[in-house]
Amino acid sequence: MPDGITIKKLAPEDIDVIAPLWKALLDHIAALPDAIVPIRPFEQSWPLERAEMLTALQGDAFLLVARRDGTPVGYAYVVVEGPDPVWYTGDARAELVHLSVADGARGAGVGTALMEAMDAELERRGVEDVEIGVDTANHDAVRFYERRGYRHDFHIFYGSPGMKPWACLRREEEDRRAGRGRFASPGPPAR
Amino acid sequence: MAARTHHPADSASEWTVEPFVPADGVTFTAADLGPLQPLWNSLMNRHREAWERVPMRSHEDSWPRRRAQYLKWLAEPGSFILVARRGNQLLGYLLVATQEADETYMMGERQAEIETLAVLPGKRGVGIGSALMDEAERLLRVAGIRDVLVATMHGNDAAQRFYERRGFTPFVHINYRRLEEK
Repeated sequence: MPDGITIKKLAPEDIDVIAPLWKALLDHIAALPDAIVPIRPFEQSWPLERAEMLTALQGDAFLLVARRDGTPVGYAYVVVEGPDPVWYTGDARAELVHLSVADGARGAGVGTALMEAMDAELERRGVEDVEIGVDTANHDAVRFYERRGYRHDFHIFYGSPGMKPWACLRREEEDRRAGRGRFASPGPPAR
Repeated sequence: MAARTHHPADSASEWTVEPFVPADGVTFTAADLGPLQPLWNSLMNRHREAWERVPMRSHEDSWPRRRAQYLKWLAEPGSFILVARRGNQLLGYLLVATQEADETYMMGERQAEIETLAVLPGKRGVGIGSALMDEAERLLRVAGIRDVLVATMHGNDAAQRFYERRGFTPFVHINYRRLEEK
């Protein structure tokens, strides 16, 4: 465990402690240059995520919060479900749904410490299979999980059949605002 | 909805893509889904070839669990199954589940996931998968759903190329580990 870092389970009534860390994760994903689908604004997504987490925390889900000198600097949100219907043969499986580390605390081992705390908790519960979804654009996160022994087993593709995908609409909107591309004002006629 | 008939050069192999409907016309039961099982098994075999690292369940163990998942998805408004059929023989099927919008990503009010697309091994590469996807996409457009997700197993390169040709983009990797493999 890195110096000064403590990790504890978070009680559901304290969930708002992690709101800034959820925002940090959203901002991080939203800023990825290769992002495919735009992220909801924090004000829109936090109430939805919060409600979903509170429901899950009544069951087998758990939240681990890392604090440095008392200040929350990261959290892991883990959902535990019954047997996978198809692929994995374990009696229970876990999904690491969120792993967030505050901007100023990245690269200091907080993520690793949270992953180790998650493993310990899952081992205690006898859960064998763990899944983590990572944005294809989040290259650092992909490498981080690979170093911890995770391997791709599925790839989720996004499509918008017959319609313009969101990413395309977003680029158009950015071009329109910036007056770029097909929204550029016509230059002087070529001679 | 009318069935769409495909007329390949060899008319003896004519097949149609059509909705797969429950016996009572309203609610699917486990028995209704029975005819899909051989196709499901063939997809499991395909997955085993593609990615042996995942400890997959046996056919006998997997089908009842998958069937229960299907029944849950099909109870959602807007979910459906399409089949490719030649006479009484099913050559392939596709199941679409629709669900409420994602909390994190900015997608529409409802979004769709292609949960299964399976084609009989001897009938792959003749356009059955494309015809099933064409019809599914058409129905989703009519329903106003613009966000569609589909998962392929790592190593199933043909499936990945198939979706990329159709304009799909890799979006999320699902990473997996058994704790004992640490």
